[in-house]
This record gives sequence, C-alpha cells and structure tokens, in this order.
Amino acid sequence: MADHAVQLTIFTFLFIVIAVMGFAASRWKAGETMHHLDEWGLGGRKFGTWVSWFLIGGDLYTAYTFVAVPALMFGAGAIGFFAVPYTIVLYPLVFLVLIRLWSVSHRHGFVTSADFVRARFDSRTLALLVSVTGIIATMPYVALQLVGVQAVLATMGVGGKWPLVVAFLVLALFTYSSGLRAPALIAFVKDTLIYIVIIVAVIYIPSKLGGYDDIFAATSKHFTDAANQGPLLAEPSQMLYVSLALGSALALMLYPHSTTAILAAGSRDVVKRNMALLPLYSLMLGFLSLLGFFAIAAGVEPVDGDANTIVPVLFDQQFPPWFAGIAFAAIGIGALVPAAIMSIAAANTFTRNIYKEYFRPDATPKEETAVAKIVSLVVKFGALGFIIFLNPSFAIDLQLIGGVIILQTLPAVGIGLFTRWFHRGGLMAGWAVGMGVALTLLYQIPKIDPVTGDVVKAHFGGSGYALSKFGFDTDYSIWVGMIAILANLVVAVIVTLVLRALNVSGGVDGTRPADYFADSGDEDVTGPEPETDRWPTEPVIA
Amino acid sequence: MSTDSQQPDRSRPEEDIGNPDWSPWVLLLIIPIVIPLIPMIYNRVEPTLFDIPAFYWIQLAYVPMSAAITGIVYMKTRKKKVA
Repeated sequence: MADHAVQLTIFTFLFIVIAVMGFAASRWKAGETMHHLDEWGLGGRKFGTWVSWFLIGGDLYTAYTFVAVPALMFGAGAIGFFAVPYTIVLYPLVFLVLIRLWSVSHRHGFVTSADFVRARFDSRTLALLVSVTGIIATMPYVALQLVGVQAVLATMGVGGKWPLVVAFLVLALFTYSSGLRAPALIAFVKDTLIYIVIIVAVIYIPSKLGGYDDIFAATSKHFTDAANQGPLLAEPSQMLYVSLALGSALALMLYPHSTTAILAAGSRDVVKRNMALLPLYSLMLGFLSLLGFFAIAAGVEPVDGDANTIVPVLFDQQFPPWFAGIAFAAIGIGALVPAAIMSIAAANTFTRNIYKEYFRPDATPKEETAVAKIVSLVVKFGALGFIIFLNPSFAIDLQLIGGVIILQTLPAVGIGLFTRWFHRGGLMAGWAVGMGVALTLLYQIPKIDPVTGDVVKAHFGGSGYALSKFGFDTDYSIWVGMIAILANLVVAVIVTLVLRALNVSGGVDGTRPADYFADSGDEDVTGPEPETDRWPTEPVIA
Repeated sequence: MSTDSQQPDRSRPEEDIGNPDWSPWVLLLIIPIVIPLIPMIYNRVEPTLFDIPAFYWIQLAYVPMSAAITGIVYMKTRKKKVA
C-alpha cells in the first residue's frame, strides 16, 4: 500500500504539471485571434518539424495502443505484433497520399477531409457520409483512451469512477480553452516519459526475468493453440496478420485525428520529413508490445481478469515504486493527448461539414470556433458516459467497427486525392455497400475461447473473418475491412460506369491539378507562413 | 494523371502540369510498403539475435530500414528553393 502511495503521488504531481501546461498552451505561438478554426482547431497551421513529430506521434500512438497491443500479445501471441508492420507501412503511404491532402487543403483552407470531398466531388451528401463515418469511428476511440487511464488507476488500487471524471474534466477544459496547441505541447512531455519508460523496461525487466532466452522459452510453452506456433504465426494466421497490418495502416490515414495532425503542419517538407522520423515511435511500439511476453514470463495475473491491466501490473511488480509512478503517469498523460486531438478532429468535422453546411451556412469563423469548442466538450463527455454507464467492452467493439468503417471512405478521400474518375453517385453507393458488408460480417464473428473452444460472445467478437464461411476450403481468415472495401470498390466502379453511360452529371471539380502540389510560400496559398522550427522562447508555464 | 476525366471548369483554363511529385526515387517506397507484408520472410525463429527470434528482430529492423528509405526519397525529391 505504501508503494501505491508513492506511485499515486508521482502520478498526481505529473498530472498537475500537464494540466497547467495545457491551460498555458493557449498563449503558445498564439495567432492574432483564437476565434478562428485554423487557430483553435489546427494550431494556426504552422507547426514545424519537431512539434509536428511530437503531435503526430502522440496522436497516432495512443494510450490505448500502449495498453492494448501488449495485452493482445499476452492473450493471442504473435498476431499482436501486427502493430509493427502496420506502423511501418503507414508512413510511406502517408508520404504518397496525405501529402496531397495537405497541399489541396492549404490552398483551399480545408480543415477536414470532408471539406476536400465536398469541393472535389461537388457533393454535400458525399461529404456528409464521410464526416458522419469519421465522427462515428472517432467517438469510441476517445472512450478507449479512458480504458488506458482506468487500467493504471485500477493497478494503483484507486477504485471508483470519480478519478476518471476528474482527469477528463481537466482534459475537457484545457482543450476547450487552448485547442490543438494543448496536446501539441503536452505531447512533448508525454512522449519523453514514454521513451524513458520503454527503454528502461526492455533492458531492466528482461534482466530480472532471466533474459530474452527465458522469456521466449516461456512464451513458446504458453501458446499452443491453432493460431500460434510457439512464438511464431501458425500458417492460417498469416493472411490475417498481413491484412490487419495493411488495412489498419489505410484506415489510420483516414481517421479525422490523423488529418487534423497532418494539416496542422506548416509545410510539405514538415510532413515529408516526419514520415522519415516518425518510425522511431514504431520501434518503441515494437519493444513495448514485447512487454506482453514479459508479462507471460513473469506470471502476471491481470486485475479482475482484464488483460488491459497487464502492462501496469508488470510495471507495478518489476519497477521500484517511484519509477512505476512515472510509468503510470506516462500512460495516463498518454491518454490525454490523443483524446484531445480526436475530440478536436470530431468537433472540426461536425462544425464544418454538418453545422455550417446544413444549419448555418453563413456562420462566421468566430461562430464556427465557438461551436467546435462546445462540440469538443460534448464528444468528451459522451466518451466519459460511455465508459461510466456502459460496459467498456462495448467501446472496444465499437472501436473494432471504427477501423473497418473508416476504411470505407478510402475511395472518396484516398483515391479521390489522385483521380476524379469515380462518380459521386458511385462513391455513395460503394460506401453504402461497404458499410453494409462490414457490419454484417462483424456481426457474424463470434469470440471463441482459444483453450476450451467455447463461444464466449456470439457477435462482434473480433475482426478476422474465416474464409471457410464463403465456402473456401481453407482455415485462413482475413480482416473484415478488406472484404468490405473490395465490395465498396466493385460497386463504386459499376455504378460509376452506369451513371456515366446515363450521362448523369458528376458535378464540377472545385480543385485544380496544381493544388495537389501547392506548398507554403507558393503564391495564393491561404495559410500563414510557416514559422521556423523552434520551441517557444517565452516561458510557457507562467 | 486523371485530368482528362474531370469536368471542364469554365472559370479557369485547363492545365496539364504533369506530376511534380514524380521521380524514379519514389519507386523505392515500394520496399517499405511491400516487404513488411510478406510473413514468409520473417516467420521463423532462427537466426536469433540477442536470443530474440527472427520474427521479432527482423520486423523491428524493418523500422530503421523504412525510415532510411523514406528519408532518402525525401532528400532526393526535395524541391530546390530557387532564389
């Protein structure tokens, strides 16, 4: 109990430091007004290389990732390592695809990917579908960040819901006042803590457990089910591994919070440089995922049978209390950064593509910002309500669905950045079919206990779909998103051809080819000039 | 480029600017996109490195490899700032 008191003191102290920084951030690199969505929702569109690095890294590698990936390795074995190829493949894709979104958004002042879709395909409806998909996919993701905080609190012996409420209240208030600048500044502290913790963990813990040899020997004995071959993937798991990695990378590109973090960068070079620098986070994630195997070797028992607690429990057992306190703070703060960015991204999307588009077409930038700030509060309290009043496993189900459905915006957003070949009607039809297929298949997937073979849960039990259900004579399975996007694309192509044959108007493209290569400093770029790459010179904490 | 399929926009002259992002160096990016998605390469225990099975260390080694390739492509495709 004394150990937990030390941990809790350090955790609380670091949490307060972060809260102060969050509120002070509104004055950091402040523009002329906070009453513009470019300022509140995109931090002024002028972040340099290092700020962007911390912001994007802090955004994509969430607290839930830190908790859930090792938990997946702990529970399911090698398949959990898909997070590594997933985050390797991601960056070259962003380098090729999202760089064009950055340019066209910079030229036209787009804040969300739905803004782009509206101009590109001249369709409010298609933009609405993209924005609703984005918001639905993001909400449970915000809620899941709380699962990370909850796992840490449970390990420190803090029960009840009120600490979560306090943590989220702080988050909600500083996001409200500081916008995207708050997570950008906090990410710096969060990631520094996380890097220290991981480096210490991968050196110190194995030395206590008898080295990597013993750890992998324990793992080999542990995984004897059909999906694993000791520490390796069994043959039938390989297709699932690859489709999960590729599909997750494509999906992550399309999430509103990724768009927000990328658009906040000051220039094309900032984005491109970051694609070469961000893999450092993947290296960290790779080592972190091995903690799941450390936990097996250390004989960790999850709190209340919740596998998400294995990393905190491992730290609690292996580290001295003061260092465990730092590690817990790193995870706790780690939840705030992505939760803030996600809620800002959802708020930007709601304001630009639903409120302004359908309710107040003549809303001023000031009104847009006021609405976005309130929506960011709604999103966060919605997420909090999710965790408090519903079963957290419901949020996990929804997040699983989130990745699959956000991928259905790939033809409009991802492919739309390269070609306007698809007809807007084809894209809408493809989206509808893709969504239908995704939800139908996910509903059909049961969760099966690997040891007993019993069905633990009848529906939404995973995202790997057995190909044998389509009548193929194989025990391979594939990530549901891949099947859904295939159906989506086939329908989009067919409907496009039909509409074109019938001479149905495809609308007018509001963008020009040169827009996709525009850079800051080019003439008639709407955004401000990028600042030089530096941290604030004036003290941030007053 | 897909500019031909676009509806003519009367407010501006049609332009064909090619693809300024293109360079043969971009083809290098195929490596970090494709290689990590071929499990046959790394789904094995031997050779181990510091007692870590090949499955884990090879994929971890892909991370700096892909970062280096992306970095090279960035340098080689960087627009020269003409003064």
